[in-house]
Amino acid sequence: MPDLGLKTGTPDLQSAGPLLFHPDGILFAADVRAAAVFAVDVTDATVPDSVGAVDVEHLDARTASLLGVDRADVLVRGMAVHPSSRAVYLSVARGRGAEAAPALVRISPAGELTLVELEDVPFARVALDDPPSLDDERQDTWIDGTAETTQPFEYAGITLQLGRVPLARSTITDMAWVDGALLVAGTSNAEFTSRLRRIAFPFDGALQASSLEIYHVDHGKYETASPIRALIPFDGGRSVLATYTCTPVVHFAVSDLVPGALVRGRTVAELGPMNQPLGLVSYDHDGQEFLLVSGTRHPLLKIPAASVAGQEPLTEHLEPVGLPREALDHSGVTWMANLDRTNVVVIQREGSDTHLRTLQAASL
Amino acid sequence: MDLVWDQPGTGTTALVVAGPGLADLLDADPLATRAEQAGRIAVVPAGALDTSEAVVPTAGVWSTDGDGLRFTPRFPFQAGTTYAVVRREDAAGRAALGWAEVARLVRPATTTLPTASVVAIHPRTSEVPENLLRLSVTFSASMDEGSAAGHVHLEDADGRDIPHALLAMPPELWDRPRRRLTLLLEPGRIKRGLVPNTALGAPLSHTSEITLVVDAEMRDAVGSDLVTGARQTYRVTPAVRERVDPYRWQVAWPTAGSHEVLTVEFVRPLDHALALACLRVTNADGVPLPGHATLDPGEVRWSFTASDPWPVGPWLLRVDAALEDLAGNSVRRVFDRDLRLAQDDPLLVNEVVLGSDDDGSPVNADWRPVRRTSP
Repeated sequence: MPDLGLKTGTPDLQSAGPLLFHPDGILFAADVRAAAVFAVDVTDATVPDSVGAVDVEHLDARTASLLGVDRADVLVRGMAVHPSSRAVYLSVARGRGAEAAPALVRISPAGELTLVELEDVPFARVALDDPPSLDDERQDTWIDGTAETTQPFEYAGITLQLGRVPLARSTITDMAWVDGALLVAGTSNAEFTSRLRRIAFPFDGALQASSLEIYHVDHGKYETASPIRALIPFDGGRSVLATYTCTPVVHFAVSDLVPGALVRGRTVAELGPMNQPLGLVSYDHDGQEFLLVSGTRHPLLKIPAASVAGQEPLTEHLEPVGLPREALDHSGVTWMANLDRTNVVVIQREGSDTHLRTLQAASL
Repeated sequence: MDLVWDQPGTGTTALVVAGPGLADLLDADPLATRAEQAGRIAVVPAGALDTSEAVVPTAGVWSTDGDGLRFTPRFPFQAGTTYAVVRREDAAGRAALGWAEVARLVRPATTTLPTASVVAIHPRTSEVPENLLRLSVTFSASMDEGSAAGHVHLEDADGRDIPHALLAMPPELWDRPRRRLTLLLEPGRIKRGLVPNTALGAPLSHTSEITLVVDAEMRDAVGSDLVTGARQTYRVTPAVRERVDPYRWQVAWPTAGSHEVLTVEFVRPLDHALALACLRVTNADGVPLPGHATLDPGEVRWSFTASDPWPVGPWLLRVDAALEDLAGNSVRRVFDRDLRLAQDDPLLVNEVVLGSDDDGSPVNADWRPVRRTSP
């Protein structure tokens, strides 16, 4: 492996956030409270003979047991699959609220949970240079029920679990490895809050950031405040797809991400209001690429990826809704990550329990 | 068998398993050490046992402790949580048959005597404008986020709660150490013409006096109440709707070589935290002069004491245009701007710079770039 600029030590991870693997198995762990990203060599060298389904019943109870806390004090904040060992890594907030402490949990292909120890490991850290300050009076709205301020809120006959959080709690919302660099989505201290940063890896201090503007079909206006909730590379790394609360899907060409610019994306789908997207993945089936979008209220949605290229930008209030989509019969899907191109590992809510399940392309 | 918490002088509290029942619990293999035998028992939160047929042992380290065994968890035990000791049911060498609970113990909730108190309420003035935007409360210790809800209120002159005066609390606006809580008055009621304003009026429009009340029931970071509550009463004066104008300040520049203090008298009280954050003294190249700034009670007089005798100038007082008064009017804009008034137009600057003149008075530059003159 080339020199990745990692030094042995103990990463001082203050909070649990989104996870992502570098193609060489380096784990990127976002620390939302510290507004930083750690790159950690987890030295996970095992390579399975074949990729099989990984399933863990009662994931929340087992994770709580491993961490020594009650079930209510465990909250998954990120999930990623190691590119060679196919182990599932979870970023978990242990405790409640903004002060919850982070833990990293590894789930082996056989479904065994272990703690990822972060003492004396090769790592590097990069701090964002534009996070919202902790006392920024602006707020973000979460409707996934994970904010400690969550209250039921009824609108148009639908009850949402609405929580407002300081903007700094959404500094990093998702990450993607695109075109040989780390993209970090979230909010910033700038007037146009929604931010997409491009960070060179190995971390050499080079950070570039663009503010984002999108047409929000449900709201009927261009917006710069609401952050991306989920982000994936698309079209061989020439572009990214992002999804937002209430629920537009937007295409950004990587070549448009000019540092310092306000970049307008192409809104390609409107998946419906009063929903916060939780996961966005792409997978292959019968030689075709599909997208899956999970959310707080809508069913798991499947979109043929080929339809993105020809989709005219949506710029009208409410109609039309863009890309064709199909609602799948897999209820309660929250976090998602690719086990490989034909298997998607998901966390599925069932009543008050959650389970880790593998969805095969043929079943989607 | 006895289960006890063991709190060392420093470090993580451990769970010690000891007593006559322990030997029965473990395999009586004389060659195995106690720590090796510990693989047969595990600690788990009891709640996880209730909901999962599989036991995932809580991460931690077993060691011997006299005749007993000590479990030090990887992460601290949680107050108020019940922990169970479970035994693996394969003592006869058969395949694992699962786990059985042998004992449980509650980690007590934290209870301590109150030690935290309110050390300041800002603004430290006797009067506030009717369109007051924010108040802040500073505590002597870190507080519990979420604890202010229902425990901080505004009362009118008759001691009655003023409903909906403070912006609904979640999320509470705490500073990084969670010692200063910022309270915003409902902006929708302050800005004229917005629905909450026309429906309910400005929050302070119906009273000659307000009192900010902090209940003793607010919790600090370890869950204790305050030693005592706190109150601060203000007379309500007419609304202020004009920009903060640094060119109207009285600036007294020190004489070079002296230990005099640079003082700035504002025209009216300004926001305490912003005044301390937004004013800087630099040389002509922008290098800050070492020293420290304070704001007198009353929030109208800012003083800067240089660390060394005042050096030869020129010096500049740089004012960040984000500086606000008590009503949220900044150098840049009027909080509740009347679009018909030309003098309310926003001032598109990031900073206003005041230089010192020969006689020590501020340079008035009617918004032109400041003259930089030596004292």
